[in-house]
Amino acid sequence: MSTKKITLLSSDNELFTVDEEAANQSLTIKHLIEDTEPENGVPLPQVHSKILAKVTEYLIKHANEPDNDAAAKEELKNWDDKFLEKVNHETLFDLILAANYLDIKGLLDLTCQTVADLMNGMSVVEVRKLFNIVNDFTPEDEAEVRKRRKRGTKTIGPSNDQANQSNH
Amino acid sequence: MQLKHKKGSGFDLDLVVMIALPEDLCLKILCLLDHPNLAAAQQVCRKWRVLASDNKLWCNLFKDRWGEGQAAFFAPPDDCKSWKNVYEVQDRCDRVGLGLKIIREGSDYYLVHQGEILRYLGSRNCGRKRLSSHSNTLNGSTLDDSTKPLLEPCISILDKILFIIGDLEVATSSAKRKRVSEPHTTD
Repeated sequence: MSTKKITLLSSDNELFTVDEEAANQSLTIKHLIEDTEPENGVPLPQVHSKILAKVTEYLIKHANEPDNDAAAKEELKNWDDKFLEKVNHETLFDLILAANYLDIKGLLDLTCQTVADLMNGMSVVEVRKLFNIVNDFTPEDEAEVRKRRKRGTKTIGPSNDQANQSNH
Repeated sequence: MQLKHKKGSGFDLDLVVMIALPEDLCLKILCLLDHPNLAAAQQVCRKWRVLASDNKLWCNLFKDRWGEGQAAFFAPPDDCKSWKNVYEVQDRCDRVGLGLKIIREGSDYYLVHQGEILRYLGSRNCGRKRLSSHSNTLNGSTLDDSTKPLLEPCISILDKILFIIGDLEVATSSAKRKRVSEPHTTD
């Protein structure tokens, strides 16, 4: 039972075989197996083979997570760091999407943290470039922000304070 | 702006991917940022400004920095203030102290008291076209070095400083009054 193999089918029809224990880390795959009992592999039409290869690599490595073995945990952490070291930004974002779709908490946390680390110290322009976001602030928006800052967080309230005083 | 034109061509894969990154995932990443990085994230685009102002996010940042106890004490009243605002005020208190002070954030001058901005005084580059608006409010040094203060705006700031000396007086006296009357206002 423990060595049962699961076959995963990527969007471009490539097959990946992993132990059931490894596959079950993905709640999406787990539920798909339970619900549909697919015979010709679990279809994952949203994940390309290029990304699924990375995902299965992660699943296999994390199949037997050490509980209280500090050295093993350290080793696994080092492996995680290396795992995403050579990954380009595009793949990293694809991995986030895949981890989210496949519901693999560990991988999602790891990839999101990697992006957050990348963003550390970046300028606004660099962040836009990393995420491929277009600056959609209009001059009116910027004027609004400026106006709000000029207004300050608190209005001097002699009127208010004095009103309170006279109430006492 | 270049990217915008590219959008139609369809082979800019990165752009397609990033548009697909849903809000909850963006928020998950923003949750992992610290204060200066989060402040920068707010200036990325309209969507991110909303996401990065998320109340829960700033509440957690506050708790991480000043602890649960302080967070409970400074918790904003339901509707009028956000955690982001509370955080910024507390951060300013840590940086400049509680007293009445004139401070500079980025290239803007403010009169602050107990971490709250009482009044905007002026800008080092006022009268000139702002470069990237307020992207420099937190780590302002990057922009400041390149924009030497002009004589003219400085004069106008001085004018304003003179002008608000009267307000300083009002603010301090009202603060003193508040402190005196605080025990009575609890009932």
